Amino acid sequence: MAAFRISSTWTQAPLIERILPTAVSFGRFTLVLVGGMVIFALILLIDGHNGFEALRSMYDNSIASEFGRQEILVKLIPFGLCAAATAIPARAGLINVGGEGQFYMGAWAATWVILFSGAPTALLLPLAFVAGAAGGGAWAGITALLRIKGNVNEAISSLLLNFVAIQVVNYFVYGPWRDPEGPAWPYTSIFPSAAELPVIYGSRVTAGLFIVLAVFVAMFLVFKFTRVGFRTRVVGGNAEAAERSGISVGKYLFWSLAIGGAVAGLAGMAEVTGIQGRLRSGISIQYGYIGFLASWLGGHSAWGICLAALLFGAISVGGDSLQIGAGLPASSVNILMSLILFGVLASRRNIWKVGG
Amino acid sequence: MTTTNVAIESIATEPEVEPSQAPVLSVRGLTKRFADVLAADNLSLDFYRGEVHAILGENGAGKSTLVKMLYGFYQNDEGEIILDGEPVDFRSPADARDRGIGMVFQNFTLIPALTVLENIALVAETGGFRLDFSGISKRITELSARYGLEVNPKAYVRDLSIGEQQRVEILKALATHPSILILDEPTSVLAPHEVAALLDIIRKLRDDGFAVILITHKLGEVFACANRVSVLRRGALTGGGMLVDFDQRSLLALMLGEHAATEEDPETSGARNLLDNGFALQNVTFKADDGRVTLRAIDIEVACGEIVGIAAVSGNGQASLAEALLGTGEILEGKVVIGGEDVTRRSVSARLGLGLSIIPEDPIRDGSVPDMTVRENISIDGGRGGLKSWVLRPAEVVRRALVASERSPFPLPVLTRRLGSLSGGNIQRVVLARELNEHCTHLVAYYPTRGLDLTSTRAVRRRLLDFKDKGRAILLISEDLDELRALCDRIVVLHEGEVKGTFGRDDIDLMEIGRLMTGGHG
Repeated sequence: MAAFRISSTWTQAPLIERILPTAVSFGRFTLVLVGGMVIFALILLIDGHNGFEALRSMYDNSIASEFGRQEILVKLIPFGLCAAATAIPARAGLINVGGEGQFYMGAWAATWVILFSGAPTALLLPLAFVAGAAGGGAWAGITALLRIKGNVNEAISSLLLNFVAIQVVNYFVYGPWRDPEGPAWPYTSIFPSAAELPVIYGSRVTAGLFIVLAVFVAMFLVFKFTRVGFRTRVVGGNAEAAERSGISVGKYLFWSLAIGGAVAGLAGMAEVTGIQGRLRSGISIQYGYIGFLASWLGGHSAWGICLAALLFGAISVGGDSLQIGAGLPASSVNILMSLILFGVLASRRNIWKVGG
Repeated sequence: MTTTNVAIESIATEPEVEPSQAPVLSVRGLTKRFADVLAADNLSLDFYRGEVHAILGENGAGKSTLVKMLYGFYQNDEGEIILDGEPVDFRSPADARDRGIGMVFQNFTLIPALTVLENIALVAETGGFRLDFSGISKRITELSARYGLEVNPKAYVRDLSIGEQQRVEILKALATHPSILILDEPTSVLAPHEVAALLDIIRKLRDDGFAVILITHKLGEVFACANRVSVLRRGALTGGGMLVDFDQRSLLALMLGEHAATEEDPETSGARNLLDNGFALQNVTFKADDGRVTLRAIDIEVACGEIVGIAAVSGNGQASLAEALLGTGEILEGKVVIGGEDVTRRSVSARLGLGLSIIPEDPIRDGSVPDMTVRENISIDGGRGGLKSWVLRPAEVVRRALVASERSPFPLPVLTRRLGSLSGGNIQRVVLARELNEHCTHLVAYYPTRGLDLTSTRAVRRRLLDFKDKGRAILLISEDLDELRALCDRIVVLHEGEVKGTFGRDDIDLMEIGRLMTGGHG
């Protein structure tokens, strides 16, 4: 009797092990989400606001309204791309906290092409696209080289380079690139109309939406259906085993980080060409960090980070309404985002470990 | 025929202390389920002071589950544990430690960045704010002297050999003043001479009145130091009693079932079918990743249709032989030749492409990806059998896994399971099945049977001989001298990165090999 039950493990994974992980992670996610909202509401209550009313107003002004839904898609562009910038290197086992800096350098490089390269008008957008990716990619490449050649921890170097990138952009917008005709703000001149990212017909969402969706689809296909994607996952799962099976680990580390940086750079390019129409100081509102959170929340998978970026988009859009409705600072929703991330990280524990 | 070791057989002694009447620890009807697997099935056992009680069984027989319940690591679903006559309910290992149960784990639980003293202080500290290092240090010295557990308390654990680390583990267990000591497969990580030293220690502990519980699948160890034996198979107790009432055959039959026990170890058929050239290290001086020069002017040649064995005490450069052939680390001098081609400057993947296959020293650390499924792990292969196309077709991954599973020398775990959810033995089997594939023509096997149960061990040995008969070249690194003697055409002895001697199949002298392995002394 006992013998039969034991030998059955050779032929079939226990049902519980096949269904449970999905069910558990879904249930866990819901719990974390609801729990985060309740705690958030309680914090607002302590502050003398009606927290549950605030949550309701966030809902009404984001998911429940046409305007809000469009705004969520507008946010999906930087959130989703910056999430992918963390998720792609994460599949190779790297922690990229540098989305913010890569975003800035992408925006910077795109701006250079548009305002200062003298490229023909018709090519401005395609070249800005390439430059955005190259700028972000090269910035992440610094981190990658430090990691591969000098064994410098990539999480730390990418994080520190964020501050450098912000200052590089500041230098240019306060200095050589400042709009000579405008007021004394740290802005470049406004981009020519040929360098504006087109808007999807009848909405306020730019063509950047196609970029982010294309990145998600590409991520899914590459990691699921290509040898390169498979090997990247092997590197992320056990670099020693990867090296020993003939995979050039250094190359995979470099390119996963560089591509991650390129994607964040595209977010920067989409921001200057689609939203701002110029480069200015403080162009990112923590997009790189929110993307980082979204990537961890979504488990670094294409569909996971898409959902997480939409969720953070909804919270962010809802947060804007708090400012108007409840008189709370818009940044108070950062509490909610952090609570959700904290819940996710804290519950990441394999409780179904089977021993014997 | 079994993994019995010469060193072990010669030193078996009778116990000097008579066991006391009442058992110090008993279990009654102990049962544990994991999902739908019955890992322990209604077990009833008694343990006595002054006795070594061996729990014998194959991998997955439920030995570890049993002792993890005794140590409070798992909670039993049914049955009871009775300590000194009263039922106990351990909620955690700390509970078990407080009641006088110590355990030495199979996988060490030491912290490499701390010293021996600090590691022991972690469990031995008495609860005050200030750590009483001098008191603990005194106790370590006392215990070391008493049981021959020589170790420097100030040394960092990361600098210790495996054998020394195990001594620290034992000291750590003893530092909590236990009366019952559980050793989980303690010899699976040790070299032959370390095994003999450990068995000595176990006998001293027994003679000092400890109730020692020894988990093992090696009959030699049971006969070398146990008084009492209980045999588990597939979670259930199949027999047991005083050791004097058993012999090797009867224990094997209890362990494996009547049919399997009568099967003999594999032998070569003698048929040859030579392939191209074998492989060789020619005058190789090698620097490992950590910067140490681990091989000096090594000349080893493995021809096709030949198994060459490497006998060495752990840490004498045998791991670097595999590294040098694979292409990790740095060749300072000399040439590496595989299949007649000089590959000294070629990449790992180029070498694997020539049909090289490596069974790593530590298959879990160096050969597996825990977050991937079994079948994905089988597809991680950069060699000839590797993925050809840049497109990864899921059907191809499934097919490759099925092929590997079919050709595997032993049954593989469920192919869709996450590797990390499996036991160490099963992970090892997956890596072995992947490396022992049909594309492999040049094999370096680092102790492939380490920790495997008897059935799988035989299957692996049969596969190695089968490879040899097919004209493949095999370098077998093993810490089991009997295994080398049974399988190899030649045995090369390595000490401190140098070849100390070579023995042909007909003049293998284990005592002389043992002497050379340890640097010529003893």
